[in-house]
Amino acid sequence: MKRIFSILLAVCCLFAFTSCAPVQKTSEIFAMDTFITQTVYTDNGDILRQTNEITRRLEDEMSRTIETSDVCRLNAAPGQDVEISDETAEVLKISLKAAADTGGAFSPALGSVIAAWGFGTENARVPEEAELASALAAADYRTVTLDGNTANTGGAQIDLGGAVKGYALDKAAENLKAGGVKSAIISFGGSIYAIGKKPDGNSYKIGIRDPQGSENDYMATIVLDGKFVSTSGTYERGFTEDGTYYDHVLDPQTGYPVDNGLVAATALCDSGILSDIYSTALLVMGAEKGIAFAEEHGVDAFFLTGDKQVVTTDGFAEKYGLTITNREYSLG
Amino acid sequence: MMQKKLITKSDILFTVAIAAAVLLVWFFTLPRAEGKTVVIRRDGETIAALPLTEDTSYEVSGLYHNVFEIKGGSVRIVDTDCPNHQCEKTGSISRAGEAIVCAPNGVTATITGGEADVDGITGS
Repeated sequence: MKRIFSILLAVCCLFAFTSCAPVQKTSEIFAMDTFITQTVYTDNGDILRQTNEITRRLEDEMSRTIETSDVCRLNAAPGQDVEISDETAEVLKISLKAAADTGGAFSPALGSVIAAWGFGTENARVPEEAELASALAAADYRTVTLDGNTANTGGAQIDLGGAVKGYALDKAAENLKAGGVKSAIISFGGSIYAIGKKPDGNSYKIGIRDPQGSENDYMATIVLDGKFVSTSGTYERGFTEDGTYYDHVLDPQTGYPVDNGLVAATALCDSGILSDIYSTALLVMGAEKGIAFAEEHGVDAFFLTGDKQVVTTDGFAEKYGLTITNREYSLG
Repeated sequence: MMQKKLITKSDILFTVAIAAAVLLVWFFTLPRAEGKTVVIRRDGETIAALPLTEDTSYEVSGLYHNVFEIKGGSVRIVDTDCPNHQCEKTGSISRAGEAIVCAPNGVTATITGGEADVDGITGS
């Protein structure tokens, strides 16, 4: 009789030791002109594929280069009413509101200016002043109207590149949560969201890219607990002409790359699309205006200046366990 | 009258044997602490998983060609005919979680195994 108890106890121990925790599944794909990764603890591998399908669908709807996308159809029909998908309409609506909120520091209607510079193509170059001036004149987001699913550009060229990755991150997070995922980290070209904590009980920790290093180098770490994070930097996708570096983040007011002493801005908030939009807007605004804007809008922000100073919104370091790992940088 | 022992020698032996069996099963079902491996993917599909401990080179064909070199516990791209050579500029990687990305060719190389310092990097 006693032996039955000890065997039962042993079986219980076995179950306790080898309990079936969800296993780690990973996915890496290229979409939206960037690298998209998912690390998800789940027993359902299909859920990662679903995220990738959603991502590709959103790319098909909002790409600036896929001819059948809503964005391309809009841009091919200046001044005409065009029916767009629910999702494109939502991204456009949020983008137009953000453009107004940021005083034009973010704009979803910069297509003509981006094209004048040739960013995203192999022929990036400094445009002639007159060419840039006419491109800029045609880039007023206030000419864009949206009524339900009917959009009219009013002649502007739409470019949702500053919002769609963040939106896709929102949709990916929704998909994973709906699938019962309790632990995951997903990155859409450096815009990141984490669900829950790691299986070992620790919070997900992320690095903030070191503008001076390679893609794998970071200068500080933060803990990501339930917020979406995005970073805009002047260090990627630029080009050098006649010894001058031109970065791809354009100031919608001037049509020129930002040149305000900042090299990167990181925004944390409760929405992927807003963190994506705000990281760009904050970089365009500069540190001083950016801090004021972020604090007013409940966004946590982190700025890096060209002389390696870190500037943040109030309480950032405590809230996110900010640790500066590269001693060349200092908290200003 | 001889009093019956509450616990006999064979009971102890039996318990020890069961406990040993449990520990053995537990030990063999523990996740293995693997050595570092570089996982190379093309269009999201894994095409190679190579240990970082063995020096070798590996060529990936696709739209373009990337030649990876594993040497002294790190991996880098030593030759590529892709348009922007961004993958080559990334240089050597050796820490868990680090990656080399060749977007034009749809190729990635990620180091797995071992504890990563961070779970992701936010950048533009």
